[in-house]
Amino acid sequence: MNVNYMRRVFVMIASAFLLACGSHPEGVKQTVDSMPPIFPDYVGVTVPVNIAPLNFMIEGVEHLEAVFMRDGKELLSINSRKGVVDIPMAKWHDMLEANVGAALSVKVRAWGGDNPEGVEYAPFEIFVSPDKIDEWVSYRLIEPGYEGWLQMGIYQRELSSFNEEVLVDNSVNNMGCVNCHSFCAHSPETVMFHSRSDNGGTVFWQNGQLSKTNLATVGPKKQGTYPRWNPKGRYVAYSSNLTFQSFYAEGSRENETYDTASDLIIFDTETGKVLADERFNELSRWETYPEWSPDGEYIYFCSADSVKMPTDRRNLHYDLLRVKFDRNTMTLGEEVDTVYNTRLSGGSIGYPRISPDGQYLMYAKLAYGTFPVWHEESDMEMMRLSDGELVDVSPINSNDSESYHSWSSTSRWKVVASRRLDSRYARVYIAHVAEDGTCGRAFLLPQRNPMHNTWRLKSYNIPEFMTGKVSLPKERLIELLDAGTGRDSQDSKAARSVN
Amino acid sequence: MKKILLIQSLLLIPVVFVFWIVAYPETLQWMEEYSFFSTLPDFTHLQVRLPGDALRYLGAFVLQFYRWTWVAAALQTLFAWVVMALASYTLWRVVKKEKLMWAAFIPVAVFVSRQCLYRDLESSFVWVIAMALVAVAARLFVRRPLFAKYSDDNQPNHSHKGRKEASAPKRSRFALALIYVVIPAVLLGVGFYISATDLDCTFRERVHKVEHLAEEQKWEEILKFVTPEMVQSDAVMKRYAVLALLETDKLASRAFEYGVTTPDDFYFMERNEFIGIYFNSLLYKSLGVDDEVIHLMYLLNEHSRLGFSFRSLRAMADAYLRKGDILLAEKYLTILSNTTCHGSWLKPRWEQLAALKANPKPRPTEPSDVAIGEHGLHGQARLLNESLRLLEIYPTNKKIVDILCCGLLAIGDLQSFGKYFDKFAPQAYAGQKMPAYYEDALILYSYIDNTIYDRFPVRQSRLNDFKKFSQFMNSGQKARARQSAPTSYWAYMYCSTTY
Repeated sequence: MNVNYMRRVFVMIASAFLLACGSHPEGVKQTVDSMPPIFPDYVGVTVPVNIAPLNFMIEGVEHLEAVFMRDGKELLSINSRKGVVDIPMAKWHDMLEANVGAALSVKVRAWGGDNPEGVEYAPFEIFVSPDKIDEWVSYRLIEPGYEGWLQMGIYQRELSSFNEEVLVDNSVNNMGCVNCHSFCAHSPETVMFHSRSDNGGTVFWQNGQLSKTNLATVGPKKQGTYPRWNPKGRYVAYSSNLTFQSFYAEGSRENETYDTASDLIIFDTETGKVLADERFNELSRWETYPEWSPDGEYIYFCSADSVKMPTDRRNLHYDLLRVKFDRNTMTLGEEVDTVYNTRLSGGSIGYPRISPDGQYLMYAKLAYGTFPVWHEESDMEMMRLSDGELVDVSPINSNDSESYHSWSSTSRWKVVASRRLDSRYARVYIAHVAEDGTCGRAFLLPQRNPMHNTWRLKSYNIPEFMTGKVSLPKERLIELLDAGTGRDSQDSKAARSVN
Repeated sequence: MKKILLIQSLLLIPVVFVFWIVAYPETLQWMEEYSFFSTLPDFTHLQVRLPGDALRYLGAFVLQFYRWTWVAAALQTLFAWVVMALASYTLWRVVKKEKLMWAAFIPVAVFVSRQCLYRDLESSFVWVIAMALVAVAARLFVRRPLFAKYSDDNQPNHSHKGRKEASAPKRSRFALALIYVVIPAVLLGVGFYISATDLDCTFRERVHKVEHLAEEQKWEEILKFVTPEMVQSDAVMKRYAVLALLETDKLASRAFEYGVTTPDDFYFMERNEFIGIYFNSLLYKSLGVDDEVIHLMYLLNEHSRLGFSFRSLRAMADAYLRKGDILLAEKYLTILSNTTCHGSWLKPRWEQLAALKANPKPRPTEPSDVAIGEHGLHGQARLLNESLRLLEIYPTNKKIVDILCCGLLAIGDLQSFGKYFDKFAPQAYAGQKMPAYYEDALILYSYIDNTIYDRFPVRQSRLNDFKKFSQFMNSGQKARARQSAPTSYWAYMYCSTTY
């Protein structure tokens, strides 16, 4: 066997390997005018320059080709035999950085499924915004809206990659609940969350120190529920809610989550003092979902006349009010302004959030009630604060529930939890908001494999932008929550359930 | 050593295998149902965070194969065999006395006596690892080459030790049988006896048996298995018998034979452990309330050591298929397709899903007001309240009518029975024979509303029976009255000790 023969065999094998791995069938049988039915739908979206690769797929397709172009010039071409366009990280970031402020055209060709001989779709555009997005987003992962769970946690995701890490999970508190994470002005250095377990409380991470306060045992002895950290630090506003759930037998909604009492309190993290202004702590009105103005001078909150729940649920409408807050005296002003009056405009307001530049107020608007997550009609609505006019944010909305949302530190991006994919599991969507209030189409948080959105058995809850990664000292956290046997407790919890 | 091991194996393997097949076949099946394993990244990520989690993960992997009882029994046997083989090795290594090799069955007997208590395989793996560590220690620290010594045992002139053995008198067949078979068999027998008489294990086996019969809709078999005597001391069996009566249209003619005295006997009021949760899910499935089935399956997940279980995921997939929810049915089927042993289970479901896609069911557009277990509905009447609410949306559902009417009869509320029977029976029982209890109850109700016979005629023969029953009662002959109509509602109402 001579060397030439061996070389020929090697070349043939290598060629066959390369053909099998990287090539695609020659040409396509047809060209169509329609946009490619890609999942996730990234057609016409505006993305930040530092976003992770927008990998996508077409259901039922075996072979995909995506060509990224600008002004007819090819920038990047991806061939996939597994039906998923998996864009190399470095090439993607290089491409975006070189094309900031431009529109990329993406030509997609697909083979397989209904088009075994190939189809070329009309190219679609992706706009690369010069507005950077915060590097991280945090969210809680939990079963979608039911009472029970075993594992749950608050996670943090690096937006420029697919890296997802635990911020804190319930292995530190006997598989209890960790919820309602809040950051002071998006800072990963000033964080709070609730730990609901035998030795629970509200955990604060400030100035490199971890501490825990059980709000139910101090001052007016009211448990903190929905938090908002004053952007200037020191104070955290909470609503204190008594929450229940109803599970429906049928119909378009599986669940109604509601309060039978809710009040407003403010906690001073320096002195441990709790302010419970009696005007916002009475039975006849319920207050919830506090929010601060960017200067920390006003507190906004939702408020409704109490009704008999759950029977009168359809008559429960939350207005949006605001009241001045004096940081020096820790008191609330005399005047209470109505920012959104549901008696005039209908519906019910939840999750008010003001952009850090103070220009816009975005909130979830639902037909009635207090928990947008389960209300399929819940949409984002945005008010320009300078004149109170509503701004069209329809590109963010869908036919399903849009619920929790937050602004990026630059005010140019929104992150929104939406159930639009399957009406049950909330996922994280990101949308651009221009200075004039024009919104880009919301796009699904990119995953390395888009199927991850199907495979994941947890729902995304409370997405919040962060300017950096949170690093909590786990040992100290375990010590604080006295749950050193977290994993064992998981076993014993299961054992209890068995026995 | 090899010969001994062979004899011991021949004894152990068939006996342990048959024991599992005969004593705990349902428990084996349940072990798979209670577990979950998937190759999906989320599952691995959640389950393997600490080094100790590897056993849980490995156990979950193996438990997938417990889907088939004979494979499960073989694997249970394998664990016992490995324990025995390692014990034999250690013993031989340490004492090297043929006559003491029966002692290897002591740990085996302990293991098999406890094996039924292990709900997953982690404990079995711990046994195997512990025995392996002991064997390794014996290998390292006991300085006797094993196989050489074994040879010595058979060729006594090779060493001093061998000569010593050789000089011993040759053992009789009886002695050999005693050492190799009888003593090990007795030890195993003790282990099996402890296992087979364990109250917890046998209770669970009974429960899993009726669970599986209910899943397969073998209602008559449940009624054969669960006798009226059995339900006196077993609340779980009572509820399964009641469910079987409901399914076979016999609730309104035999419920009181099975010890029903309150509507609480129809289901588990407290939904905090998996037997009750699963039963309730079967009840709601029977009533056609799939949203509650799904809700309960989420709760059931909490009781699995892995946060999810095959049982709940399969039930959810089926419930979504029944509901016609294509997206969520596809999600759960996709997740289950990433497991090892669901090929044949998935095939008909994929076909069902394809049929649904071709002919989709309209999605409900309006939320319902009928909630299950809603806050405020507590106490004995909860199921009755729920039934009434459910009849608002399913007015012709005979099973719900039966639950409501039999529940009212159980507590002797004839007034309400008459009212609701009058309202719902014409549709639910249109053109059907009236069940015995209702006929009996209507005779009593006629004393409240004498026009009831105009709408619900009662047989003259039954009126005569009641006349006879009344005569005995009026003359103080309660026993004879009961004897005259022992299975009647009148006997339950006026002669039973429980009412």
